Amino acid sequence: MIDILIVDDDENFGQLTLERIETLAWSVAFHKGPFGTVNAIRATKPLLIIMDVNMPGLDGAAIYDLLCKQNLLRDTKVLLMSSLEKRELEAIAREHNIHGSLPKSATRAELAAKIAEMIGGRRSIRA
Amino acid sequence: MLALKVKAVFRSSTDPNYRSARREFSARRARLLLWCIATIYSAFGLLDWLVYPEWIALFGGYRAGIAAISIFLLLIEERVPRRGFPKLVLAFSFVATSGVIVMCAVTEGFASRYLVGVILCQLGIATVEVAQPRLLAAILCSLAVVYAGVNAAVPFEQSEIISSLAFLVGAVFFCVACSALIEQQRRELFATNAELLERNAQLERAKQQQGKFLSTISHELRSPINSVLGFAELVLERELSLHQKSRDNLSRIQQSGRHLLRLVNDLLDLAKTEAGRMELEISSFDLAPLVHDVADQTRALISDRPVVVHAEAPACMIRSDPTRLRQILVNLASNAAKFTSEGEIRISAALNRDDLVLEVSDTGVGIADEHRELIFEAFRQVHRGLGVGGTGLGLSIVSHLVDLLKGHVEVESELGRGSVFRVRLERVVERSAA
Repeated sequence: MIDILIVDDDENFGQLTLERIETLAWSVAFHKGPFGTVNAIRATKPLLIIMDVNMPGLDGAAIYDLLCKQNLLRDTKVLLMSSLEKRELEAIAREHNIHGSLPKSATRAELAAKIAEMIGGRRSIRA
Repeated sequence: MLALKVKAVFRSSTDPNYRSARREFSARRARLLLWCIATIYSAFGLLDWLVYPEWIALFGGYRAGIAAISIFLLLIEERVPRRGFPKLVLAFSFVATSGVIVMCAVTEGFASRYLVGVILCQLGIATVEVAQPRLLAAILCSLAVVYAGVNAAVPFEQSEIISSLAFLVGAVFFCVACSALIEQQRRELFATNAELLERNAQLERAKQQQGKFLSTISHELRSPINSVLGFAELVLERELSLHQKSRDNLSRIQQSGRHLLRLVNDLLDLAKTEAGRMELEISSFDLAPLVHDVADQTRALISDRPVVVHAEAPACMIRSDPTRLRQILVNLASNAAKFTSEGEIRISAALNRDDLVLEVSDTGVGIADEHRELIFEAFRQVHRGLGVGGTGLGLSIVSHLVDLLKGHVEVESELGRGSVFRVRLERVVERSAA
């Protein structure tokens, strides 16, 4: 079990996000998506999934819908993170009732604030 | 060639779409014809009452009957539309006209010019109403033959009959030709419409593909830049023991990365606005914080120069797109910051009833008169020699966004003394927040 799982097809950005979150003292793992994402979530049972939107074959929103159908998001929140424009990203999140969204251009501080906003109160459960 | 054209017009169209559109058109015309019959037959009852008072009971009854049947047919068609409705209405109109012909025969005889006039009216109706010119030709020729036969049987003034008959035959040819021409024009118009619809659909598809392309390309371009910026930030934050020279170099990477990101964003914004893909998200928001926020950003840009940034905005709620309004102000203010080495930059908002006037003024290098029209063109930099950066897209984007917000932008400037950019947005002020 980990706190945060990053799902992205871009290894560079995945690694960057991983390192950024490590400095915030959350337990974190990276999965190169989109394939095998459901298994990775089953295996790690994260509190938060940081998921890219545009991935080859299966995009983040479609994966989210799949996870909802499989009832895998009961204790897990999803944060969409993409290089799409902020309002475009927010529109996708709204359309699919996804918990949150953040552009990839966000700084480490903005990412930290967003994570704290989404799962900040629940961190002590696993610490 | 002409014969072929005439043949084509007289032949029924094989295009099922045209036939369907033609049916709809004929049904509309038939409804109009019924309204005309109901109105004209009632109105001409007055004429009968004045000219033939001895026949008023018979003529009035006939006219009332025709008007009543017209209204009845209209009501029936409204409830149960029928495919053969136009043909039924046309047949009915001929029956109605036959009644008037009988009226003429009884009162003035078959050589009456009034009768010729009635038949001409019927020809006119048939010309615009009948779908097939060949059907019209058959009907009208029959009408002329019947008229000639009746005239031959009844001994009237020979010259009157011959002149009326010649007049009618000429009218028949004229009406058939008109009908053929109308039909040809209808077909051509329909074909042009169909082509336009197809082109429109193609354009819509191309527009959608372009939108998808823009979205994909923006994602693909921004992704690596975000990684470069993020890693540079991470190294700067974590590697505290890094040599100062290396830290400076990393800062330059960040600066260049941010510049590249801005460039990519500007290019995509421009492409989006030019392709009509930029969408507005209108909401209510407080104007003052937005203006002060932009002023703060501008102060950060000119922190190394003796330039004072003033911000002024009334407390009021605006109904517009906050993101695009901010983008307009940021572009104007950063432009002012680029070309102002000392003095002041003033960012202000003022209300004029429901209208909003945004103004960004500076004491910078100013713009020459001959350049004033050029500055809103994309990639145009009139002060390239001054060594300031930029892509020449900022003002072009401002112009497009202001257009999108249905406002207009104007500029006043004096070379060496500064510039004033004024954006007027109409009917955006919602209510006073005070």
